[in-house]
Amino acid sequence: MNKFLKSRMEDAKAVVSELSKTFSYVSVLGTHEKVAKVISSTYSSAINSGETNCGFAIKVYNGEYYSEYACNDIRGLDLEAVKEAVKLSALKQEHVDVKALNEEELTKSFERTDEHPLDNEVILERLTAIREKAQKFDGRVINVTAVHMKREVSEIFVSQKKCLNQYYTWTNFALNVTVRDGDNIKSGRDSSNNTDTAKALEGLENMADAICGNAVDMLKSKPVVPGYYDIITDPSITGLIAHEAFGHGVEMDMFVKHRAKAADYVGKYVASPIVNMRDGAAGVISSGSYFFDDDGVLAHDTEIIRDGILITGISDLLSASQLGTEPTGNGRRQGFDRKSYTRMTNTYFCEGKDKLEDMIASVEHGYLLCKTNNGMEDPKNWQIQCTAEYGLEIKNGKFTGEIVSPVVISGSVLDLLGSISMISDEKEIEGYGMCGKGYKEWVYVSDGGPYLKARAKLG
Amino acid sequence: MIELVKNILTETEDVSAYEIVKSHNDERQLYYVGKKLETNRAVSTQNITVRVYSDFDEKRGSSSFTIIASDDEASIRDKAKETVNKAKAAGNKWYPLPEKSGNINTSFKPENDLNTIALSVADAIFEADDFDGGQLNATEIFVSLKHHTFVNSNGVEHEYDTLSAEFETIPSYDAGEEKVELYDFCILKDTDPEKIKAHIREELKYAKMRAEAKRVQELDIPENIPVVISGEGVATILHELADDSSYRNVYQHMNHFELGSKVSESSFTMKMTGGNNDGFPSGPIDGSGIVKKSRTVIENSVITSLWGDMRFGYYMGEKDVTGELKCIEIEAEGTDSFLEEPHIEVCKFSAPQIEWDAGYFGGEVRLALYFDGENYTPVSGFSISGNVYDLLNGVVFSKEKGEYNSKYSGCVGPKYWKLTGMTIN
Repeated sequence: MNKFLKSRMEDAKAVVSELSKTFSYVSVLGTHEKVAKVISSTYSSAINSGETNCGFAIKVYNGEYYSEYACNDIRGLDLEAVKEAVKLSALKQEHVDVKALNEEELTKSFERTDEHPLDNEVILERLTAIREKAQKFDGRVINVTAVHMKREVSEIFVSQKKCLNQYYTWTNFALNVTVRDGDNIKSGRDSSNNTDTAKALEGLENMADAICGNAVDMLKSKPVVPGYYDIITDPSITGLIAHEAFGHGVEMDMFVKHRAKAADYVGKYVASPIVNMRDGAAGVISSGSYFFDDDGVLAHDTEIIRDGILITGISDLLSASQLGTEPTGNGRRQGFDRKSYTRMTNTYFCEGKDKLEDMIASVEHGYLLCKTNNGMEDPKNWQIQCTAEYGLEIKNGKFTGEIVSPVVISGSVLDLLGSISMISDEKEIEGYGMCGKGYKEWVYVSDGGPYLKARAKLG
Repeated sequence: MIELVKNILTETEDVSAYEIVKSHNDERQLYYVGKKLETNRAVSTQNITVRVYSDFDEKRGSSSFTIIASDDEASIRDKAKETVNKAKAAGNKWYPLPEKSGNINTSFKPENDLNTIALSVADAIFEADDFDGGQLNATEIFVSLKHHTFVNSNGVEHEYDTLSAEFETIPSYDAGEEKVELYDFCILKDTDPEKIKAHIREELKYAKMRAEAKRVQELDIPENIPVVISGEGVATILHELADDSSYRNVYQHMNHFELGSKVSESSFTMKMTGGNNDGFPSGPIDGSGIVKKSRTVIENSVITSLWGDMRFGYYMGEKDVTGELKCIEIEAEGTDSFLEEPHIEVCKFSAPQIEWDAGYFGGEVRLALYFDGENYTPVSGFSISGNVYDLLNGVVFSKEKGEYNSKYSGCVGPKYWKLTGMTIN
C-alpha cells in the first residue's frame, strides 16, 4: 500500500469515530494513484510520472440524505468546517427515501502487483525501437506514436464496520501509425495490456508490423454504402456493443432514476437465446479489475444475460439501498473529488460454440467489423451508436479485399442483440478503454467477448 | 508553497526552465432524483503540478511531478531531482517558454456562497420543470470557484479566479407506453434564472417531440433533402476544421488544407479566440502560460494564418504565437430562406461523429424535425452520413446567430448550417 495512505489509516479511523457522534453512517475513502506515461513519437518523446487523484472522500448520512466532503488530506482536518460545508442552509430540501447504509463487518488487505515491472528508461528505449522500425515500414508513414501508461492504485476504505485497503496495477501500451498518400491520411492503431509490464510490451512488439500493415491498407478504404448487412464483430466491437448497447442500460442507478428500459425487462428475453453476458471487477483480470469498489463493496462477477434473458443489473451501494437489492461492487468514481455512480468494470459477452471460419463462410454479403472507435449509450430508449474503425467486406463467404472506414452501427438494441445468430468459441478482453457517464465521469474499463454474427444497420 | 518550489528548482542541478501550476478548487455539487435531493457534495482541494525542463545537446527534455499533501521540502527536492533525470532521458527539438509580458492578476469573489448559488440554480431548474407529461428524471448541479496561479522561470506570473456553473439534466416524457428521454449538459455563462428556465423548457419540449416522433420510413421524405444542423453538430465540424490549421498539425504534416488553400466554395471567416466572455469557457491563458491572442485563420474561406501552442508555433517560425485557443467565431453572409423550404433539422444527435481523415461526418439522430414545406413532424431513430469536405463546400449559413459551449470550448456564429448531399438511413 502507498506510504501516504498507510500513514493516514489511523486518521481515517479517527474521522469516522468523531463524525459518528453526529451522523449515523460515516465512511472515508482514501485514494492515491500514480500514473507513469512514456511516449516516443516522431515529433515528441517524454517520460512523465506523477501522483494523480490523491485525496479523500468522506461520506456521511444525516438521517435524510447523503453528503460528501472531498479534500487532499484528512490529517488535521477541521471537522466542524466539514459539517458546515455539507450543510445545505436553512432551506428544507425534499429528499429521496434512503436509509443509513448497512454494511457487514470486514477488515482485509488486497494486493495485485506487476510481476515484471520495467524502468521507464528501458520502456522508452524499446518504444523508440518500435517507433523507428514503424517509420521505415513504408515511405508513406508520416507519424508514429508509441505510448506506455501504467497505473498504480492504492486505496483505503474505513467506515464504522469496515477497514479495507488495496493496491493494484494495470499497464497499457499502444501504437498509432499514420500514413499519408497525397491528401489521403489514414491511421492504424492497436494496444497491448496486462498486469505484467514486460508481457504487455512484448505484446506490442509482436503486433507492430500488423498495425503498420493495417495503416497502409486503410489508405484504400472507402465509406460504407449505408444499409442493413450481416456483420461479424471482432472481440473489440463485441465488447463495444456489450458496453454501449447494453451495459449502460443495466447500471441500476439508472433504474432508480427511471432512466433504464432494462428495468422492465428483468426476467425477459433481451437477446437471442444463445447470448450470455457478464460484468464484474472479479470476473476477469483487466483494466476494470479491483478488489473493492469506491463504496467499500467487494468486487463481484455478475451474470447479466443468461441464454438471452436479462437476469439482473449492476449497482453501487446507494442505488442498491434505494432499490432494496444487493450491491454488486460497481460503485466507482472518476476521482476522490467526484461522486460514486454505478459503473461497468469488465463487461463482456461469453463464448459460444461456433468457429470463426464457419461464421465468415456463412455471410452472403456483409462485413467483419474491427477495432473500437467510440460509442454512445441510450439506456431509456435502447437506440445504439457504435463506431468501428474499419470493416472488411465479405461476399459469398470470402473476404473481397475491400475495406470500409469508419463504420457506424446504429439502430435498436433489441433488434441487434436479437439478431445474433452465431458466437465464436473463444473470447478476448481489451483493457484499454475509458468510459464516461453521459459526457463526464471517466473511469477505466475493459470489454470484449467472442466474435458475434448479427444483422445491423451500417452507415 | 510556490516560493519554496521556485527556490528548490533554482537550486536543482540541470533544471534549465520550469513551470508551476497551482489551482485551488472550492466546489459544491447537488444530485437529484426527480426533484428530490439524493446527495450533496463539497470539494475543497488544491493541485500543484511542476514541469521541469532540461536542455542538453541543443535539445530540450521535459517532465513533470505533482505535489501532494504529505510532501515536505525534502520530498519535493527528491521529486525535482528524479524529474530532471526523466527530462534528460527524452530530448526534443529545442523550444522556448513564454516570456514575461502582461501578467494577469485579477481576483473575483461571488456575491453569494457556493451552496446558495447551487441551490438557486436548482430552484430555477425545478421551477421550469412544470411541463405537462414531461419531467426531469435526474439533475446534477456543479458550481465551482477556482483560484489559478501560473508561474514560469521567465518571470511569467498569472493569477486569476474562475467561477463555473454547470448542470446535467435528463428531460423525459411519458406518452403512455412510450417513455423517452434526452440528455443535456449545460455550461452557464451566468446564473440568470430566466435563461435557465428557458433552457429547461426547451429541453422538455424536445423530449415531448421525441415521444411523438415518427420513423423516417413512415414519412415520404424526398431523396437528397437538405439536412440542417446546429449546436453540437456545427461545433464538431468547426473544431476539426480549426485543428487542421494548428501549428502542431501543419508541422506534423497531418493537415488536409495548406496555408493559402480554399476550404469551401461558401464564403466565411473563422476567428480563433480565447473566449467570448473573460475567457469563457476556456480561461484567459493557455497551458504554457501564454495570454491568448485572437487570430483570424480563415478569410473568405481561405486559410490565411495558423494558430496554436508555444512549442509548435516556435517550430513553425511564428513570431507572435497565439496560444492554444478553444473558441471559434464564424462570420458569414446568411439567409434564413432555406428554413422555409423542405429540410430535416437535427435537434439532438446521439453524439455527432466525425473522422476528419476519412472525411466522415454523421451519426445516429435522437430527434429531428422534418419540414415538408408546410408542417413540422418530429422524427427519430435514423442516421445521417456524408463527406465532410463536400458538405463544407456547399454549406449555407443562416442569418440567425447562435452560440454553443462545451466544458472547455465554444463556438459563436450562424446558428443553422444547411448541408446537402447527406445520406439518411
